[in-house]
Amino acid sequence: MTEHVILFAGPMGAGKTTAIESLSEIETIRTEAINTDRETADKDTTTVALDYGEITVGDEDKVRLYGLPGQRRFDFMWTILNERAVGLVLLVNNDAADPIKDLDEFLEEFGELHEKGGIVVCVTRTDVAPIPRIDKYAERVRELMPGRMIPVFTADARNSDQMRTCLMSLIANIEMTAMIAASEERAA
Amino acid sequence: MNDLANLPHVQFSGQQASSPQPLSPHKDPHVIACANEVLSGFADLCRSLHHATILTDDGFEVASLADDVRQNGRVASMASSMQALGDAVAKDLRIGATEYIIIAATTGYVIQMRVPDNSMVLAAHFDAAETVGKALSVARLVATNMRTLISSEAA
Amino acid sequence: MVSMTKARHSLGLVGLSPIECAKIAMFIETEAEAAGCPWLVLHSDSCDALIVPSDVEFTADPYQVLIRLVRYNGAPTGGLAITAPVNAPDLIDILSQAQEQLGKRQVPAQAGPSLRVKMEDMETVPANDHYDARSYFGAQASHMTNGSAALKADPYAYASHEEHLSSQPSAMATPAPQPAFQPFPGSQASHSPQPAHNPATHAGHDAHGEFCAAWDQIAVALYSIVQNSAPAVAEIRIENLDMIRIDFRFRAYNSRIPLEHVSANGSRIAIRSTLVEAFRPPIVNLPGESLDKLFWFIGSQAFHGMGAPWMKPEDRYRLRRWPNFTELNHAVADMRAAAAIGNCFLNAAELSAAAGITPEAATRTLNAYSLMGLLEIQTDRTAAPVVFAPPPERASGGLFSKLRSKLGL
Ligand SMILES: Nc1nc2c(ncn2[C@@H]2O[C@H](COP(=O)(O)OP(=O)(O)OP(=O)(O)O)[C@@H](O)[C@H]2O)c(=O)[nH]1
Ligand SMILES: [Mg+2]
Repeated sequence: MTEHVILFAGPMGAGKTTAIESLSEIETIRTEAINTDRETADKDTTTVALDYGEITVGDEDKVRLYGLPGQRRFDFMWTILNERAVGLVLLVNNDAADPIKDLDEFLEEFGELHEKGGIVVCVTRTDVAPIPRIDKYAERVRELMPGRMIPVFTADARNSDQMRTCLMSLIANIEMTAMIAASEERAA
Repeated sequence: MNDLANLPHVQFSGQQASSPQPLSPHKDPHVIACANEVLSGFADLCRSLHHATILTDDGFEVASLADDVRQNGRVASMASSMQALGDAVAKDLRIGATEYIIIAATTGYVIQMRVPDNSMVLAAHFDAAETVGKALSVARLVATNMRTLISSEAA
Repeated sequence: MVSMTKARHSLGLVGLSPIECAKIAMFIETEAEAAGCPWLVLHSDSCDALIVPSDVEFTADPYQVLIRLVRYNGAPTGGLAITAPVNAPDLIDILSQAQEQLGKRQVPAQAGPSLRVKMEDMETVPANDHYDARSYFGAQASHMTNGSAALKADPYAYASHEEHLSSQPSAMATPAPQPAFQPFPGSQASHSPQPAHNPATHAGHDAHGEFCAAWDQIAVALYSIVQNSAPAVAEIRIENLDMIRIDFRFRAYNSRIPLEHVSANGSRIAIRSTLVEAFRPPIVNLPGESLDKLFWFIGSQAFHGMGAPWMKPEDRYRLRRWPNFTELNHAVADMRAAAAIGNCFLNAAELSAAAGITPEAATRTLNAYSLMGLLEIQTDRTAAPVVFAPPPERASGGLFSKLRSKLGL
């Protein structure tokens, strides 16, 4: 059985827990606590340890989906879960006070996952806040990680189809970069 | 989606029941005062107590016995994660609500448990001189005291 | 202002007054096609032919035919010229001459559409990547501003001969019942207006040739407008009353019917476009739908699966930004194609091999991406092509293909 660990990171309220719920085919494991920080995200609960979901593919592959807590106080969980990950779905909610800064911070923290596999950026809650537009994110990603091709999508974390598109694009990109690297190695 | 129903405790201290957005425990001077009082009593009860923190379920420090602010914050976050993981395991195994969590290490152990009827957790670090049994019963006493103090002073 | 579906050449109006523009547009709409002289009129300086006032300094590119508009009994110029006030017979006459000149210049072997648009240097940021309205409005549209009142004019102010366009832009933004759409000159009686037989089929694939050709021209027109990067709005009208309204300033459009239902068997489509002042209210209900969605739709169905006229078969392309698939009507193969062309420079044949899609699908994909402004060009022709080794995964295929069948995509 090959395991593929995909992390879901991003600021509080971006939709990591919701996204894993949308994608997982098992009942997800959640660690929600009552949210006492309503100023940052006005919602009832917040993740304090991790979310966990799975997609099993045949009897050979298992995609493990881990959601991280968004609040930096829990960054020890980020470190723990980062180690096994081969891919990152970075969610950023467009209605945050400064979502591009959130993007900066999380790419700074998790950017190296691009080298371990791949990253995809999902901008959520664009129905709540249409601005900034998606190309602002793409531009910023290009600035922060020049020469890397990182897909940027708008997505509603509640929408399974859209989350699948994000996940599949991530995997397609991971496989394609691996294939190109292999070809280049062979050519050299 | 909404897991509130599955959470063991959903009530904050009673006195804010009328306000729509209750003050969170770690910002509520009354709750903080109660926590400080209870924790200082804890130190008197048990000499092997190294460190203790009362925290909100979502990992904010309400009060601590030690002065290292950074460390207290760290303990609060980790204890919150631990508690939630414990709850997740108990839920998955269908063994009821988590009563306490113990981490036993070579030179000491950590006990954590919820403050009854509150979305707060007590986390206490003892050195190895103490027996687990005694540490546990003292911790339980402190957690119950905290509950009593909050509700009595509020009334 | 108006394009005919049979237009073979594009005509750019540069530096003309609103009244001159309106007149020329009207003459072309009412008479030029009937006279066997159909033209696609654009406010662009990158068309086959250009009408420019004789007192405006202007150098046309070698491929272009320059027509001078001589005002106030000004001195006649060498080359093609037309005198103000413009009248229909003169205009038709001068356009026939221009058409003749263009016909002579044309390479006989060229099979594709003869509509020409200038290819911007893609090394710089493509013009159609200016998404942000704020920074966009601050910028001057370099070659179009000087003394060119016409280019700043409100299109609808002089389109009053058409009732539905006489309303204010703000009123147009509200979806009101559409007044009956006048069939284009020369159009036959209305066709049976049916929804597309199969929503999944791109309209251009199965319709008769005329329809496809019309989409080609729409694509060229859109590409040209976008390359211009001046604030513009446009309307695409489809014979059975459907209309797509575009506001390039906001990269948004409105359509009363979903794109997949845009009629496949209507035979007449036209585009009107004009420049607008930046402060004018939007002609679409914002936020509207992303222009990328429209460009993806049109770009992938135009040109019969051949390369768009502005694409060069020998060039290699790479994505500069990932398409936002969650808002595009996409297939799983598109994700793999994006991954391939997102990571290295490829031409259509190489893309087809890398992504496991047909060469025609690869070409359509490139056309669409390029219309969307997503591509950068490899300038180094000598660069070695990327040869794709078969996937290093097990014989059963990679995780992607397994997940794909698992998720039933
Ligand atoms: N309107 C709207 N709501 C969304 C969208 N995506 C997610 N949501 C909602 O936004 C909220 C996101 O909450 P969570 O999934 O708990 O966020 P999280 O990232 O796990 O947050 P933390 O665990 O606290 O860091 C949920 O209420 C979702 O239903 C979207 O695109 N539009
Ligand atoms: Mg969460």
